[in-house]
Amino acid sequence: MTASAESPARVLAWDLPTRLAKWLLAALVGLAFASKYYGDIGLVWHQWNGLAILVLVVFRLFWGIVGGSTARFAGFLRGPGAVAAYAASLLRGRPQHFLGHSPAGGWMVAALLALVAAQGLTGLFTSDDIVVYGPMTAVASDATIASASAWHQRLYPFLLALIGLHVAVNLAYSLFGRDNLIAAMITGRKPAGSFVDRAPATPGAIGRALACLAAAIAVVFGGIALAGGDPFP
Amino acid sequence: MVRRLTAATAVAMFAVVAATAVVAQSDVVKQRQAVLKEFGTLTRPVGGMLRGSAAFDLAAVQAALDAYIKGAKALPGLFPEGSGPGPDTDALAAVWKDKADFDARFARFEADATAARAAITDEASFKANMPGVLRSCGGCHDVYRQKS
Repeated sequence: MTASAESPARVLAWDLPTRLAKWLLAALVGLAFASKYYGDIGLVWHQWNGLAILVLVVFRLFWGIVGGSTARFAGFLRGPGAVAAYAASLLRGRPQHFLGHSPAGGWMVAALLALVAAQGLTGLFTSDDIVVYGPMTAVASDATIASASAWHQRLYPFLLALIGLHVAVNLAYSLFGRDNLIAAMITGRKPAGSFVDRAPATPGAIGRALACLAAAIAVVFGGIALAGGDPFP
Repeated sequence: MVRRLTAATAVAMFAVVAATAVVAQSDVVKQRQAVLKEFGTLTRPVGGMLRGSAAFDLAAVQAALDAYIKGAKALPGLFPEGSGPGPDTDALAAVWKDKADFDARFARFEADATAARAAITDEASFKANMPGVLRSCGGCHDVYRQKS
């Protein structure tokens, strides 16, 4: 490797579908807050927003199986030993250098996806007993609606806290750590170096990404329709 | 003997009075739940009209507003001290802690509904005036109703 200090060679870290899904999801989650507090009273905008989030989460699950190398769950969801080793290296002040997600970052991604998915799923069954009726409320029992509505509100502060932690850690690492994670997630590239995981990343094919997106749309809207709900708020 | 009978009568009378009080209390819970349930039933089609999934129906909107006006007058009296919180009600302790605010919200709700009843004559005035009335519902639930 002959990387000069002025213009270091850059290697692919994140393929385009991974980056697009990531930033779209971030934008949609932000819009979900806006549409809840500033949207129409029937929360029609908020419901479309939630459906789009569910589509993206399902897309990301598919992409985590067949997508680019750094997007795959099998690559970045590591066991407790790897997490402990990473934590130890972090405490020593010399964190192991990963091209993709670090073991800690990988589990943060999983936790964020799980919580966002839970918000999307409980939202399908949520009603305010006034004018808001989620897509699945037509076929859900009153008890299910009451409990889903409660969880939809109860999970919200945890999601906010997790997002806050995620943003703070990435800002801190990008400012003080070994590379700028935020820039890498925008450009898809990191300066070449020695990484624990394989570099450069292998991108997932765009055609395959489109197939995953189509499948995700079919799963979300088809799933709601098959379960007897109304997928179009 | 007579004294014992008197005591027994007193105990029996006390029991009847106490039982009546309990029944009255559960009655008041049932009454307010019936009023609020009716709000919900009448509001559901109104929500469909606001979301655009049902055709505008002035009579249904007016029926809902009339129920709000009537119910908002009755509801503050249906939350007497001691009628919650409890297992049969979702009313939170805050209702009795901030009873003045609780009652004031119903007064505002009634005023809003009365104004909307006069202002709503067609779909455009419905879409302009109804959301403001309905926001009171959720605003009150957020503070005073248990989220189950």
